[in-house]
Amino acid sequence: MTACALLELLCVTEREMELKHAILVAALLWLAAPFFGSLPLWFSGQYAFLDSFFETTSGLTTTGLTLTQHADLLPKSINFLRHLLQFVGGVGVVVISLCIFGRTQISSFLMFKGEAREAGIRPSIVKTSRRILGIALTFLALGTVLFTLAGITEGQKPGDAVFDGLNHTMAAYSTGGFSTHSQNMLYYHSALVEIVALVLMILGSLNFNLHYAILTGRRGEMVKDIEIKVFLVFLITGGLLVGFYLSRSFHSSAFTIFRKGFFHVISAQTTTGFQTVPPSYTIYLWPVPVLVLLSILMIVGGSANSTSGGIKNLRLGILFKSLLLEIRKTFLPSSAVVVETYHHLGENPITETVIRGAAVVTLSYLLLLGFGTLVTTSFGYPFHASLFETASALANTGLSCGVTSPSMPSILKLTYIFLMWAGRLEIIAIFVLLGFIFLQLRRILP
Amino acid sequence: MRWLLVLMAFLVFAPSSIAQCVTVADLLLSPDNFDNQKVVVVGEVLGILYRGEKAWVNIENGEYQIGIWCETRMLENLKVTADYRHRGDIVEVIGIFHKACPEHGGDPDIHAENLAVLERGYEISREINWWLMTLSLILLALGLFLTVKLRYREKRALPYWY
Repeated sequence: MTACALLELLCVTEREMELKHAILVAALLWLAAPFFGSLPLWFSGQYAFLDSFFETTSGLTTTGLTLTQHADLLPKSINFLRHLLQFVGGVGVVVISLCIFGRTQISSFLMFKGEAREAGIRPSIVKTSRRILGIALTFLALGTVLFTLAGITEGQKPGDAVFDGLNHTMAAYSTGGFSTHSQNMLYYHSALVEIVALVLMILGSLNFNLHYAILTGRRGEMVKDIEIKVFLVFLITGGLLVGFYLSRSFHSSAFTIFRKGFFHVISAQTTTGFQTVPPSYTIYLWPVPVLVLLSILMIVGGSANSTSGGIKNLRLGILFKSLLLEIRKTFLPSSAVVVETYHHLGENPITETVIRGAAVVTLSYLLLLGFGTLVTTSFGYPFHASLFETASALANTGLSCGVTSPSMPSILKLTYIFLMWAGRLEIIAIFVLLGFIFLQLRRILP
Repeated sequence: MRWLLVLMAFLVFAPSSIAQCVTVADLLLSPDNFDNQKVVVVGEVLGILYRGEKAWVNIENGEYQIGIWCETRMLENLKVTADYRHRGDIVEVIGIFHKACPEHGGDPDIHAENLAVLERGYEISREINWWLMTLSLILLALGLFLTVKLRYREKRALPYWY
């Protein structure tokens, strides 16, 4: 707070903020904020500095990968801070994606529909932030009550239930995945708590535009929106396949398969990262195809303009529609004009710009996934575990199969910090930052 | 001859009736080796969730945790659960380990037959780091002062979009 206030006082300019400045600020902010945020964790004596930086980056990017070994034994203040970072990071990223990234050519379709594109960036940020904060705080209150009631029903002390309820709501709604317990959601051994978590995870992964549309009476959007359709297709397909492979493993009853499988499919696809099995089970007992399927779901991610990470349902929906468009074109005469549209808060045409934007981001995600998997395997981890953990870091999910631990190599920690940062900013910001550095170097060097 | 028969019977039936001393790490890293077998586990109590006549006791041993499903009467001697200010009771649990308990939604757990407190938990004294406390208060005061100052400056000249 002090650093931000000092910057605001000392770095004054009369110039209007341009798009490139806003993106640059967002990219640097997501590096500077974890640094300042990591100081309390470091000072607490519970973490080494790199570990505290990792933990804070994981928090602010709403990833949820953790280096905390004994979450139950942390001071309540530190546990609260970890979850608060996720909530702030989750709300923050929606503001940035609505107000800044929405203006770029690469993701021009992500712009908040309620905002005038011609309005300045700063006024847009202030107005949008207020709306989003209002919605987020409403869900925070609602979630805390639900989690608290579920906790008390399942035998928790009221005081602990309120504390856990508040923290887990912040983690679930921001699709973060931190927990106040080392066992994560397994601590409760409760279907009721899992249901509350599922509801909040899904709500957090929905587009804020959609929240706004539904809250303002346009409920029909819920069934028409392309993002919801893509979400359901991946959920059903992924759920059935995961269920099929789990049925061939050690799980005996259909109820168990549904409970474990469905929870982790939702947790992966919403990029939350809540777990109800120990990480050792994921890597040693679950069939390899389950890990690969969950990795795919993590990379697909939730909705655009939500707190979830990944490539996003909207982009994949557009790419799929553009594929259909290309196939249709081949069967039509060359003179025919074919127009394809997608429904996202109204009918929108699929243009070259939109397709290019979706393809560039998708390709960038896949390249980074390959890079991260390669780095992880080079430290001796099995391929499927490396793919799973990299997908989890890149898509800001937080599901772990045990690779992430305080004893993992520092280079791997730094790699995951980079992946979390890049994934959170949808990679666009990195291009801009690299371009800016390149231009500055070209100016300095002869 | 009778003694020999008794010895053979003991050797045949002993593995299923005698509990093996294991750590939680053993159970979670090699669950196949202990599934549906009687085990003895020692761990620190992290939390208790009461469910009527029964209860879940989550225990920690090293870096691994597991849930113990037991009857509430077994918990009469439990007094302290672990947190930042407390070292939890250390308990020894004898029970049947389930790799994926069909009764409890596939959770790994131990259905306790006996639960005994080995070591009583206690309060841990934590000293305040006054240097950090002072620094935090100074930063908080500075942050609040600058925020109020900025707010005052902005209110004096509200921009068109405010």
